Amino acid sequence: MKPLLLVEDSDPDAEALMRIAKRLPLPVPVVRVRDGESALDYLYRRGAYADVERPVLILLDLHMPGINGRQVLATLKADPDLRAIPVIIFSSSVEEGDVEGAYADGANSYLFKPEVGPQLQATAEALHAFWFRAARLPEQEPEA
Amino acid sequence: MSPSVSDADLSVCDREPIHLLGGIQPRGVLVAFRGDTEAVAVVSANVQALLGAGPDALLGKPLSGVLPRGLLARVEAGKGPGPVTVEVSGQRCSALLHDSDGLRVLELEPLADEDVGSDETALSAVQRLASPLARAKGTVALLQEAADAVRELIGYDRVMVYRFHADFHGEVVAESVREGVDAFMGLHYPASDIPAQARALYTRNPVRLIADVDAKAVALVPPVLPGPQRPLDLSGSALRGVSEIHLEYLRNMGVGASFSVSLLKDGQLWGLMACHHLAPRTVSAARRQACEVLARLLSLQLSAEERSLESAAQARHAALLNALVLPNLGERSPAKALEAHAPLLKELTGAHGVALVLGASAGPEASPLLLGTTPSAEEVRALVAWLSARELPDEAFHVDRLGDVYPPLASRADVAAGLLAVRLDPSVPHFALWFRPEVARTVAWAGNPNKPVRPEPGHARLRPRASFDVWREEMKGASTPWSAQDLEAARALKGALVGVVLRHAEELARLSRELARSNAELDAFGGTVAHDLKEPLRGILQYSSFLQEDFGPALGPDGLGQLEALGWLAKRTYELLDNLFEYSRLGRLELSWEETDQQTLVEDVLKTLGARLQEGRVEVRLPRRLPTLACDSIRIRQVWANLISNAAKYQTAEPRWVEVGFVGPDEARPEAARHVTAPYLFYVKDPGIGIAPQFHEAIFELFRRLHPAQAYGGGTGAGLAIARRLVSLHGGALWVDSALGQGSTFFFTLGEGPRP
Repeated sequence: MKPLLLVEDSDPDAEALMRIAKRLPLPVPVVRVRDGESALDYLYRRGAYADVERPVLILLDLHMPGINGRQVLATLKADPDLRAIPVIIFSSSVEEGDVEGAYADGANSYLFKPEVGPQLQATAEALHAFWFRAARLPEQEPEA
Repeated sequence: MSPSVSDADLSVCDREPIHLLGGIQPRGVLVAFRGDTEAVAVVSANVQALLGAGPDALLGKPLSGVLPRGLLARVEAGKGPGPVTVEVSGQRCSALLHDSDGLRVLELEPLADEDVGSDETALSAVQRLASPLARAKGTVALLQEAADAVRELIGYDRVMVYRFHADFHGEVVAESVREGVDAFMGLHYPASDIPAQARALYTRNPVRLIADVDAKAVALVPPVLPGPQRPLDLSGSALRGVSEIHLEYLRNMGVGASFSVSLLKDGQLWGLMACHHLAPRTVSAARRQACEVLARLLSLQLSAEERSLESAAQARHAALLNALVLPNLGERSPAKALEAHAPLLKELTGAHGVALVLGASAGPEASPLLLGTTPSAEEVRALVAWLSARELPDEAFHVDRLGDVYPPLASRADVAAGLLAVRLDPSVPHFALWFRPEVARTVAWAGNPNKPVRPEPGHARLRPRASFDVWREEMKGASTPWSAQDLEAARALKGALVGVVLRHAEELARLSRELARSNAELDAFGGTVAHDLKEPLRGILQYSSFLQEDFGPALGPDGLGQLEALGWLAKRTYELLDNLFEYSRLGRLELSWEETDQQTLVEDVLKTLGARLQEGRVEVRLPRRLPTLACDSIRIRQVWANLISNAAKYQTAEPRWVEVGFVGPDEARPEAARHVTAPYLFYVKDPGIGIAPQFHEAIFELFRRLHPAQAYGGGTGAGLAIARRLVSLHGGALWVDSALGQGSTFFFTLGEGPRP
């Protein structure tokens, strides 16, 4: 089944999201990669990711060591084969430049990483409600 | 009968056609004849004594029939070099020949016995005069030597060297007097003493003798030329008659004979050697000529001396300008550098005071730099405002009667009768201003207070002292005029200053570029710190919440308490980072100004704070509607929010309230806001715990708190620092008035809007 790809270098952030995802009735599995390089390998099915399925949705952190989120986003959206996959930026940065830049590069939405606890839970729920209930994703099997 | 001189005559003195008076002095005779026919056309009425025939007998006759054969040829031969000694009717005479009105004019002066006896030639007299000059060093000594030599040669009681200033008033700069005769050394004479047309004659005809001021003028026959219908032009005549006004003037000074030689410099009248004798006394043509030659030598020497003085002055100016543009100006403002050179600055144009309005000292509020004797800072500011509104040709302005064109300083002639101003920058009102006091206060005016006035009823006004009083009255409110050199020096300073100011501006620009770069680096640093530190903090928060979720029951109350404390600490650090980051960004904040209804802004803030205010049972009082004022509404909303929530926070006793209000223009201001000039003053007042005076400034420092972190709702200590910075970005001020246990009032003002 096509997964949701989580690109996140912070373990606690990834873990928190995975915990919340587990409690939500998420119709797709969540796959996490730790950096931009792995994300591109995954998308282009290189190396260890040769056999994976392309994700239906990408949750992308902006500030990462090495290839950062903006570079991943730009590469992805410049590729006709991949640009259809919706990308949700998930960042702790409130910089206007980061927000505008992400949209300019083709991000489908920009979510601000909230503090832990109820706010993070609420953000995750909203994300689920929109992308998996309200919206129709490309190449997604209709929900049973 | 000598014509009487009325007051009215005095005023026409300047217009009197003194070269067309139609008479000569009686010490010689004049014969004018046609060059072609030698027919005599004009004679002086006194010809009979010398030529043995009256005018009627001579007119129309050929000259050769009147004068000894060969005389004319000798005079013509000597015409260039000067007087020729001839014998007429058994009398030895000096003969001079010149042309005027198409006629040849021959003047014959019988020689006195002493001159006849001496076989001195003009050349040997010059030799006698010129040798002491070679000893003299410097202009003053040179003129003194010349005065002594001339007095010895002509035997007069007093020889003055009289120098004209730029306004043609004169000053006695050297003098040789016989013992017992009044000395005039150092005194100044009004320009009106030597009227313009007299100065013109002095330039054309450098030697002038009035051998006897009481001698009656001799008329010319005919008195009017048939062609031009006016008297013969006597401009070139040695015997030319004298204006009665001038004679009167000399008589009133107790002078019996007067002799003067012009001193020219580069063709301009520089001064006079003015010689007086108390009794009538003639000077032979040969000696007059010797004096003339001496004057020419003197003039050449003066030109050379003046040029060397000028170049010395220029060298001094250059040294000053150099000192001003020395390369180490970086740490000092141009004004500071100039202040150190105050005496040089004044000397540059011979001013008594200098005011500099430049750089940081510009603007209506700023103080000009005042050096020496100047009007007050306020007067200078007003003057600069007036100057800036004027069209200044070449950006320079000079006047020696400032009070006439700028009445506000008319009463300040004691310091500012003369003004020389150069505008340093056409776009901003930067000026260098030089001031001079009125001249009447700075020079000794001529006239001898010890000399009794000759009793001459009806002529009282003509005595020298009265005349000088009139002059002193005239010079009231006037400074000595600014010379071309003064203007040139001022312009040179302008050039140098513009360079200095520009370099200073460049220096500032470089600093600001550096500052911008380090600001950018700081921003990057701040961003990194904020992001990279927040990341692990969020991890701590998250793991502690995982722990609580997964193992809460197993931890027990103590374990859970510690976990909560851990979370609180992490969260607090997280907030501190956020505040620090926000504060660091304020420096480069661009405000977006708009007219903002402060009432709406505050109501909006109160809505947001509503829950907290209710919880704390805090009543908000708004005694009257707040005005609309330009500001960046987002930032000022933040200021209101901070002040109102603080006011609500730091209260312990009931009833709790916060008052939000303002003081408008022309309303009485509380003591703590007396100094404020802004039209509107906002305040947020509470009856809370108050702040001790020693902390009134400390509370605005970043992260400076007066209470434990968890007391009073646990602020981070950044709020007031941020609020003050936001207000100051608006050009306003934020301060507190408070006392422990007496509540606090925070005041703030807003600036006047974005700078253009």
